[in-house]
Amino acid sequence: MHNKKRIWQIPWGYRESIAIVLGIVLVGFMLQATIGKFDFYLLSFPFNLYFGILSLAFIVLSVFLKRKAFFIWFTSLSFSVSLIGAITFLSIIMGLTKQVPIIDRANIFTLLGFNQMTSSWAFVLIYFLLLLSLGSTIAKRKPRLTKQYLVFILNHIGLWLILFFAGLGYSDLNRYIMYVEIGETQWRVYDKDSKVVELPIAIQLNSFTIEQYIPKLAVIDKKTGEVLPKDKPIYFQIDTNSKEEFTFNGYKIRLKNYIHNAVRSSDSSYKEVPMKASCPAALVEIRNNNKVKSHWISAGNKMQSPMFMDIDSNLALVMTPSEPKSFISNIEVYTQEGGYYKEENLRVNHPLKAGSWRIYQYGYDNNMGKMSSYSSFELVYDPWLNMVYVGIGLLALGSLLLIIFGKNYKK
Amino acid sequence: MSWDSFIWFALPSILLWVIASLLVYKTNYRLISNILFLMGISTFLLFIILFWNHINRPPFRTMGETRLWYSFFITTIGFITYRIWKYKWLLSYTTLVGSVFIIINLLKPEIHSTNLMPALQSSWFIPHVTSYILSYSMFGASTIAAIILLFKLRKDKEDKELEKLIDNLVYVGFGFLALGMLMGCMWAKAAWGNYWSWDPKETWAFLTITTYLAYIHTRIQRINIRTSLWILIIALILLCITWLGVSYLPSAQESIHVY
Repeated sequence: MHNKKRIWQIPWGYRESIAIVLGIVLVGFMLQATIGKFDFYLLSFPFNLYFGILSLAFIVLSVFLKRKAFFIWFTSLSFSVSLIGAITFLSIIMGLTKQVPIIDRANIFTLLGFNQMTSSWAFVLIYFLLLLSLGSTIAKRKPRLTKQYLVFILNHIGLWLILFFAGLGYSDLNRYIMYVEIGETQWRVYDKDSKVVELPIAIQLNSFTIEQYIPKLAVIDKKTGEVLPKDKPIYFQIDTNSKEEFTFNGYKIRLKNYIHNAVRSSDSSYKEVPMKASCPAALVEIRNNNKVKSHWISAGNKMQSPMFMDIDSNLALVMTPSEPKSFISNIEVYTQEGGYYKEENLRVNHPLKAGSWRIYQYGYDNNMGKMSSYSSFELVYDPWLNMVYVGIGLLALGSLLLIIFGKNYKK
Repeated sequence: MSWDSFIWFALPSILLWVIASLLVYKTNYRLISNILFLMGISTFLLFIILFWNHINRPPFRTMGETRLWYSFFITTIGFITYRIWKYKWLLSYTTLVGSVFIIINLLKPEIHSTNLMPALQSSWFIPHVTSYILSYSMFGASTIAAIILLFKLRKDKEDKELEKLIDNLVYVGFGFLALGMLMGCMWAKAAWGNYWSWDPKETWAFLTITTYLAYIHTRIQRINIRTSLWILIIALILLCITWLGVSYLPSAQESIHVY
């Protein structure tokens, strides 16, 4: 189309857009090599607010100047596609390079910011250009009551809100880890540099429980401890509802009894005792050539020693250690402003929202397992989160309309 | 109704779907085809309900149970998409994918509970993965169509209908891709407190979606269609890396998505 046109002659198309975007990426690389990575804390409150207002002012200005050659180009598809191409290119570099929080060895790639792509100047510059170009493009388009406009506006505003609030809000986002002993209240946390900080929010841990999966049975080589067969270990799931038997080298192994919370008695049998030091135990029977023997086995824990069963001089039947199914904290939360929140079932995937804070179940004392005396939480402070959610909601609606309408060709 | 009876529901469902996806090509049998396909879905759903009732807990725990839902959602959403878009091949396609999951379940049931780690125990799990599978199937089909069109264009044969088909498939696939990604964000937020953390799988998913964005925008701009079609082919290669290849990248050895 513009083949006859000389480069830099208006209107600008792909040649100019690609040249400018490449230039900006190169400037980004040079900035990176000379002054180091982009410091997101330059954008912490209130500077992100100022920057946000400036961006909005730019977008409003673009509406008034939309017939100027510069803004026609700035909101053109050629420029958009070039920016999309640049962010894809930088992401491919990011996808192929290991991303690290701290660079310990400098080389040409670290110098250009490849190992910390999202805080590299090239990435940040393209990101903000995208934000401005997208904003101006949305503002330029005249609202109409058509399917096309609806799909356009939902998808583009949704994306713009996400980019705007996730990008500018990033430096206001804070994450802390808090360890709380059962029965105690805590407000001191560790920040990302492992420094102790006091927060305006306190958590009282009333109780902490771990639910465990029912363990499996396995046959091991007594000398090496390896699960057999070596190349393809077999694990037999204990299932009290099933009468299925587990056969190994002609030995028939059958489950006779299973206790999830068991404590060993003096005669080496197990009884159901619902206490924290209990562990799963099973009574199993092994049959081979009319010889029958049964025995209790258990994987044990910090308080109880494991029990296994000799099959013959080389083989033994063991129980696998229990894997956690869920870990649940019962907490009460107090904030300095007098807020009070309560959650009896705080667990992974089910955080508690407390004002602008969100509290996540993080971990526990892995060595002690069920007997852990503390529970740990991740506290995330993200004041702009709701705006990102609005963006996600609009984008989801827009995506749904794409599925229903498709490209929506006019007849 | 336990796993033992699964075959008595699974085989009739597959049979109904196969007949329906064949009959759809006969103009006079469209209605019967629709009815048969719905009967297949209902038979399958009936098993899920009876099975759920039998085991007394939601059937989301084992691999076998997860595949049950894949088969159900793939065929159901495939049917709805066919009703909206009238692409007849969609019925055979979803029948094929749904049946593969059913046959795996029949041959290798894995009915014992797999120990799903706490982070995976989420109601976002199934919609997140199903949405991605649907988008991948649309993109796969659109790429095949793109290659056909590129060959036609080499012989200077235009095909406006095929162009429209490719565009619509990409739009529908893009919708599912974006929904899958957004649901992943909601899940990640609930599990880790981050809706986006540039995990290697996320990075590759991101650059895949931006490549499809480039296709969509170059098509609106109506640049030379050959360029757009090549972008579409590159996008599918990137998508395959995201789906299957990320696990092998040295940059991704600590990714939460490696399994």
